[in-house]
Amino acid sequence: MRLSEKKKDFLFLAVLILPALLLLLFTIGIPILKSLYLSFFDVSLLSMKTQTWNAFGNYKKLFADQELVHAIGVTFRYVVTVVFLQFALGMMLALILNGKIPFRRALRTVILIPWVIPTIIGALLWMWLFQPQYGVMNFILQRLELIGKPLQWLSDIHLALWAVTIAALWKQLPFMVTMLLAGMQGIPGEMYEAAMIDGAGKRQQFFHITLPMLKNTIKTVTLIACIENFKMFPLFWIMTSGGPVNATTTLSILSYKTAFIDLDLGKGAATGALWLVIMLLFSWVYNRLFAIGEGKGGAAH
Amino acid sequence: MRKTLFTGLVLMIVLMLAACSGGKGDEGSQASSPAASNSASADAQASGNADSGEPITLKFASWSISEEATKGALEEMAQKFTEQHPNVKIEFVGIPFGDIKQQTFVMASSGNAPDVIQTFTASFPTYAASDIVIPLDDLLGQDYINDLLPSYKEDYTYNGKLMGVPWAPSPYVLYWNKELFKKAGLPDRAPQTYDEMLEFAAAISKLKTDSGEQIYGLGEATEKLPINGMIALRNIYSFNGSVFGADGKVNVNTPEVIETLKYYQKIVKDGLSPQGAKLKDLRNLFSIGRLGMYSDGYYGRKVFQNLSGKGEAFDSAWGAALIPTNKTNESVSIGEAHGLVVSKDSKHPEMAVEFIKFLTDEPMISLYHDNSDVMSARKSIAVLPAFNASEFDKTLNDQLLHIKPLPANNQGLEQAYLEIATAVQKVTVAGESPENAAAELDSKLKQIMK
Repeated sequence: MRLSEKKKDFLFLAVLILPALLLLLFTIGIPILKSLYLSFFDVSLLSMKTQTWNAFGNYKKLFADQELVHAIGVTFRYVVTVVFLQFALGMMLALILNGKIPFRRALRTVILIPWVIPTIIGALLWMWLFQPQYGVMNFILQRLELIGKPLQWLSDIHLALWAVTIAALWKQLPFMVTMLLAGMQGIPGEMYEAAMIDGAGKRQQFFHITLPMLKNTIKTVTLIACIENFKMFPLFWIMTSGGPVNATTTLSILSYKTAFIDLDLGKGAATGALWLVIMLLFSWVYNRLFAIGEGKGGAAH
Repeated sequence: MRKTLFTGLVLMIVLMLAACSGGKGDEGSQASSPAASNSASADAQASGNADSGEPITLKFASWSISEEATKGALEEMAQKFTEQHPNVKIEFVGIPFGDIKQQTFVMASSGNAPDVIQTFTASFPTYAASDIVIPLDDLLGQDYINDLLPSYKEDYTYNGKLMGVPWAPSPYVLYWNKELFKKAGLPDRAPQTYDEMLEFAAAISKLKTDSGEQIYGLGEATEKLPINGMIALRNIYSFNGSVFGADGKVNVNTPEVIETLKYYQKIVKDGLSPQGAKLKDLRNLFSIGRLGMYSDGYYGRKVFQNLSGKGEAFDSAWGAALIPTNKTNESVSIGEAHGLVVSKDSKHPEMAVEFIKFLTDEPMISLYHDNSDVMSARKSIAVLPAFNASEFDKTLNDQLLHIKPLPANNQGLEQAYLEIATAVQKVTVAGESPENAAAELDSKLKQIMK
């Protein structure tokens, strides 16, 4: 039997994609399904052999004790702050590095250093920098007379989330800069020349050429940054363990704590499931927001 | 062209699969290396002690094996055990202190838990109430159990059965920095009462280092960890409080607990204690001469030697004393212990218990004592001269006689400790009133410790 060209193409594509699909199925698909399944059971690591169906019991417990709502609030506050600052600073640095400055190549390499350092090591490093009694951060700020008393970076309810945000910014900024820089280098120089001839200033060039041309890059990198920070675990766990009190308990910390400290896998899985729903909703809204104006030729280039 | 591509692709997949199975082969050969050493010991056994039975590998999950200070002693103990039992090989599974509980529970969920697991008092209730460990009464024998110090026996018992063995017990004693006491014009002795302790702490807190940094008088660990909640019980007990009311039911909304929380709030507010300190911060600050007093287990001496960078020369800079007396009019402390449990998955529970007995018998605990000041939870060993040689030993042993058992093991006890630590944070960091914090803690503990 001879296969039609279309079927051959389909088979060819299927074979190409199959290994990746299988890998994703076993590493992501099945664990997600299993976790959704577990979220409807009373299951604890204390006694894995007994699993009883409790319908929405785990979800009811989650909403009853307020911790979930608090964790969602903390997560969104953290994600919005870190992604906004990351984007603003990243854009500034990318513009500087895209310009004609001395040691441009060397600087582009140096800026990547925090990115190649494993997150766990970065977290430990920042934990020591922020140590209130003998950490470098307080030492420098006190020497510069910017603060009088040592700040309790990681044990002050109002400062702890900012301290983690600073560490996250340090770690993730290189990625943002690199991606934006790559996007900027893809913009044809003639567009800027044409704009200059038309008398456009630097600011106009930025708002009318650079930003619109970077739209897709911005959409992708900020979405990646959002997802990366939504699921950020090591920085929080190592630096604050979700404390002081619950000031830095994000969804990832809450779900880990419930599943592996309280050993309540059912409730932990329910937290994970709700987290998944929130992520999906967020991505959908995000894509819709970026799609505004598209289809009318707004983003065509 | 397409045909070539297709053939190429099929070839690639075949090669990938082959590589995967090759990987498995490698794993197999790696896995065979302990087996190889096993067979070596089996050979030795064949020539030396033919009756000692089949080759056994006991897996021992421990954090002490990953720590420089204790690694050598543990390896030596394992080697000595293998010398006595040539057919047994001890395979250490090194897991960091903070991860050992969840990792061993996850291993157990797939029926793959190590035979022997190291744990500690704050985490033990979770093991005791789970179905992953076995009771040890019959395997250890009544003589062994009767020899355990009563409060430790109680701390390692669940529903009337001994579910673990207190291996390296440690009472919390008060460490005080002699040099700072002298600098502050205080007497050359530890405080006798809580009031005196606070008075001394206030005097020390007025000092500054040569470079103008703050010195703290008294340290209490307030990081949000179960162990710090357990440590807070030492203070609750000293204020004559408890987790339970007279009727045996949970009740922490009591004047004694509120007073304890006020004590925490006061020492942080008055700048006597660093805010939100981790236990390791206190150890560091004490070792660099920036903390006058704090409570810790037997580990103090070795830790200070390392952290101060002065080695044994630093031993003369500090003293250890009984916890000062408070509302009970006598020193009250709690006893922590690194313990050992045997997992249900163990195929050789008798040998695992044999190993635990070996570790807690006089020769090995002496070795551990010489290496790291570890004490013994066995009455017959604790009284031996070797365990009472130095002033430090005597203080530790004396404090061991002044400890109050922890709450009876309960499925929610570890979580309860975490809630106590959170309550302490609420009053020290979040400025909540001790009355509110105690009321909130009360309702939480009533839910958790049903």
